[in-house]
Amino acid sequence: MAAIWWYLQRITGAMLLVLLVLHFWVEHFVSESLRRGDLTYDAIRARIVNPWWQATDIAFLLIALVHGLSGARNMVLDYSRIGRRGAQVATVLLCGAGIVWAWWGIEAFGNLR
Amino acid sequence: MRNVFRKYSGAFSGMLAHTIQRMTGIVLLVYLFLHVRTIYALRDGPQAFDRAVAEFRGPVFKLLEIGLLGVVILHALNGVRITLIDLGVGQTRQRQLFWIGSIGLGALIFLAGAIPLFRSSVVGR
Repeated sequence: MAAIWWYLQRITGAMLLVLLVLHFWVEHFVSESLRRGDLTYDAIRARIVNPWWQATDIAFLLIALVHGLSGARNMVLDYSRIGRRGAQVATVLLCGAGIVWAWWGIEAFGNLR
Repeated sequence: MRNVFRKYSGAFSGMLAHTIQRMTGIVLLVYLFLHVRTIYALRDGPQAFDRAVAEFRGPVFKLLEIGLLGVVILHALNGVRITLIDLGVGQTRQRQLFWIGSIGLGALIFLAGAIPLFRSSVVGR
């Protein structure tokens, strides 16, 4: 079981690297105003009406959450002595946090769709 | 915890890289939280969102943003290094991979991004 997460951490990491470069490019680089850091509602809206961009952004969030919370779980299990039961509780709590967090991020686009 | 550090102290054995990866990982997770929090203002319309983003236009936040760039680059390149070693590439060269790949190449990419960012958003305002 641990081995699956080990590999998943590498695979999600590689995906995040690609998505991060893309994200940086479209939000901070493509135009003069974006290079100044002036990201506006209208600029985001113009991009988000495209369902492919929406799917890309949501995928970015979900993959980042799997990678980040799985990493957080590794740290909790490494630096604490909570035993098997405690590890299960930590896993359930982090999964719950991930679901709420994902919902929170997806809902942010709720009024743009 | 102290035993863990003692075990790996002394010669470079990847412990520094490991610690950097964990520290930067925590920073990025906290950042992701703040990022979603700001993006959530999209729900309240253009004025609310532009106001939420405007909070981060000050020079202090711009400097923090440049710091974030450094954190992301370190975490990403060190992650690439870990993945390469896992795949069996450069297993006997992991120390060089760290100093040249993660730190050296990372510093170059960081400067390429940080200098224009600094000029346009901190000096230029």
